[in-house]
Amino acid sequence: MASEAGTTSEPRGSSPLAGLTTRLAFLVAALFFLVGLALFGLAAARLVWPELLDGEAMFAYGRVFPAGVDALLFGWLTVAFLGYAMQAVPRLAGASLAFPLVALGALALVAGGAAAGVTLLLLGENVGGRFLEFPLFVDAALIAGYALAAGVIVLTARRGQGDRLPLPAWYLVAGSVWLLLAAACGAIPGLQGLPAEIQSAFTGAALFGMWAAAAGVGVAYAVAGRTLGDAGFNERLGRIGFWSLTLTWGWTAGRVLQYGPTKDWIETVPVVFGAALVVAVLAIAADFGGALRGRWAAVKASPPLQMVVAGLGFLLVAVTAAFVGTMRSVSAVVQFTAWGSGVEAAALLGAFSLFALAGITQAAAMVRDRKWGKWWGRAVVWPLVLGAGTAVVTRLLAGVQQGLSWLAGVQTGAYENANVGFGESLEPLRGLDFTYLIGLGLIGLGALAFFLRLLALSFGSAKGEPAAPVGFVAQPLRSLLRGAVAVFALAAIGAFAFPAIDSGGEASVLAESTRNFASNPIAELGRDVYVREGCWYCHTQQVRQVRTDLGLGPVSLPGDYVFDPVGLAGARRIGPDLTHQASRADTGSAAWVRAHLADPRADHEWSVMPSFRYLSEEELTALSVYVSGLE
Amino acid sequence: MDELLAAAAKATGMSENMVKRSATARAKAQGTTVEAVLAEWAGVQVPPGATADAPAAEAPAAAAPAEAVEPEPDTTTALEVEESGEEAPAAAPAPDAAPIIVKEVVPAGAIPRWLAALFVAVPLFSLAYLAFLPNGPACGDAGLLAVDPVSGEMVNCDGTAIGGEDQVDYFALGEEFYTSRACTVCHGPGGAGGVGPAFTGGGLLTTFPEGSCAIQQEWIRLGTAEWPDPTYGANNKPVGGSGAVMPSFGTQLSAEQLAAVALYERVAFGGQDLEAAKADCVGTGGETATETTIPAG
Repeated sequence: MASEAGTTSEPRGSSPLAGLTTRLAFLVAALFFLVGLALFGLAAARLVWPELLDGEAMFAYGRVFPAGVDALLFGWLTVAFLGYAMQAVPRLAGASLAFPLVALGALALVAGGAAAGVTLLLLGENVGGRFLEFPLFVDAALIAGYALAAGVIVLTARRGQGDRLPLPAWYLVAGSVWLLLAAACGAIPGLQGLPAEIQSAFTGAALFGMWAAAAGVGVAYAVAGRTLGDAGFNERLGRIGFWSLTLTWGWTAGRVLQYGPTKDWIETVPVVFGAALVVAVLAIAADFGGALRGRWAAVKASPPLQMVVAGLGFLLVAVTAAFVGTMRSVSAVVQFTAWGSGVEAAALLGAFSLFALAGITQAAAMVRDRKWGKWWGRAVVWPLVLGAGTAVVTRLLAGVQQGLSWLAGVQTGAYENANVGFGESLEPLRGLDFTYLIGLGLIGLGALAFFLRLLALSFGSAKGEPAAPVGFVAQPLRSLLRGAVAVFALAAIGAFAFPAIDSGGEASVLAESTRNFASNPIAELGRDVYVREGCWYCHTQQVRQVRTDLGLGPVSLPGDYVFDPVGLAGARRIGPDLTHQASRADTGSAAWVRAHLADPRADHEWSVMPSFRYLSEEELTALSVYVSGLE
Repeated sequence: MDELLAAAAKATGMSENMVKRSATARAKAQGTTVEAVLAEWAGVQVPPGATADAPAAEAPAAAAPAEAVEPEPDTTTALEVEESGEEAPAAAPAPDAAPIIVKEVVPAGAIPRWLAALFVAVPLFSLAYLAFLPNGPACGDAGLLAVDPVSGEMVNCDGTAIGGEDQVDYFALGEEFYTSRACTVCHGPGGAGGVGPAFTGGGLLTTFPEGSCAIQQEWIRLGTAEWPDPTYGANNKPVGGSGAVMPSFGTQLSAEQLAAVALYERVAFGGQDLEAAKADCVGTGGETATETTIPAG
């Protein structure tokens, strides 16, 4: 409650360990940011210069791309937001951090788990499924870390006076619980085929919306509250924004399955909730807009506030682009193109990263003796905003461009989705891919400036954290947690459990004869390699019932996937669809596939596939047997 | 306390929750107790001693909410502390009280009208969407096609096969090019000939009999100037023998258009069956012919 804010007595500096924990978390997070961007950028560079580091196992696209994304999501954003929550929730609740030693341990588990997971991905230990890539023991460490972190944060909130939490703390406290629940959903074992695909879609949506977006908006409120007080913020809007954002995002999970082999209702739900999500973000943006009206001088003077404003802009772009891409008439064109990665860039690199940066720059500057500094602030804000803006625009444009060229090719009969025509659809993207790379480079510069400044501020004597005005609409912790669990449970049932149950079914004739590898160990090994090497980030195995997929062969059915141990349907076509590779006249033989895997640009000079000559003879043969046998 | 709160809420027209928080903030700012502020707002007799050190309270409490609706102008400047070189903590307690009081009296529940409209419109849209399109668009809309139940291949919504070739009406395409590309000047609108040879009366099929549509296309593509041999066609007509020049259309027509023109001439003037001409001309022409008969020079 507001009255506690002026006093610096109990919560402030009560434990040097708490200060150290936060300081370490911010530094580690910043390191993850740099590493994640480097990997992510390398993956993007491989699409522009396919020969770059080609043939090096560690730098194959299927390894660096997931390593980069996971370093950003599980490393940078998660460590940053958890660290921020451990620093801000005590202040917001008016209590000291509960069990600081446990908090430190939790962050160590989370950061260590993410580092181990990213390393294992680079070493080729991908277990399959987007956002589910880490091996089981890494998942276990992460979940333990999330559980401890959520426990510490909830207990801290409970210590607060009157058991009442202001709005920024709702997001941070509920978010830490949702992180744990989302990770737990992702770790549920035993799901195969389409249910596994739905599990990955839901986990991704929950991690993005109910963790990163929720925590990010919480940080935005906390940062604005710290700088401006809660003056001008609208109680009712704040409440509506919180519940509508977190109620809707999880339900949009099915957007990546649009027109796919799942039931139609599973594809209708994300359209409806995608529209609602845009309104939810509009409510939050309107709340900030009302509070900042007439106070742009404050925004101009404060880099953290600028990051908050820019982050909200990117959040709006992300949910709008996601909704537009979910509508089936648009989805028929942009599904599987770069559009989806544009949405991800707007969320991960734009919104969430800017929120995390806002929180850390403000907190670091206030905890330390020195200020962050005007120029250092600009050195972070401008590259980030320009770079992320460039990245988002180029990805969305590339998506439209590629979708339209697929459609045009089909209409004139000149384009075959599986062969040379696919290369022609890639050709116009080169310029956009290159500009995208420039955008990522700009973000990297901002991240570097951020890291250097943070490093400089991390040494020297700590001083008591300043009191700052805290107001905002308050809610009892108990009812908040009840609501948070209910919101998650609803989404998990509606967007995960029911769809997963409704997507199983009998094996199709095709699957029984061509995808059941019980007695075909070579193809089975090939499928394992396919999963490990991340082939599925660039190749779909689903033919949709739409015009863009004409010429690819019979349309995919749920029963086609029952023998796949993980989701292999795919969500992106950087390379051609492989569903019916066996029936391709010129490229369907194992010998051709093997030669193509070893030297991709020998036959198809447009190919951006990495060379898999680093695989052993046996693995290479097995992979080509598997791919050339797909039907 | 609860009665006071209720009374104060009634007097100020705000919710109890807000009144309580306002009062707490004000009490802190003025160094008085929450009860005193509440009592003051409710118009009740102030407990003795509670307001001893509250000179600022001369502002009529009931008027306070109204007067502070506009944000305090100096809030902004006070908040630039972070960048102004001052130590942030030193400045923090000072602006602390002010913005909170301002906030508390802003009618916090007002939602922008456009947003309220959206909050009504979106659920309506959702319900309508769920009611009318639970299974997505109908076949033919939004790029959706039908699926053949036996083969699993995509087909047109009426169940007919989709084929790249079948979608093109070669006869119509060929007619369009025949009439618009000056073919009619030499060969006549009805194919009866003129400066150039006649197609009708078996003329065309004598030179280019069934199965040689590819060669016919090649002839159209290259013309007399580029034709590599001294004669052409099945009846070995001398190139340029009639004194007329057959222009080269290679740069003007695509492979598909070449096939269409050849097909049109064969069907409309040569009397060949459409399906037979299609088999003869489409797909087999253009490229294959190009590869085999392209002139060396």
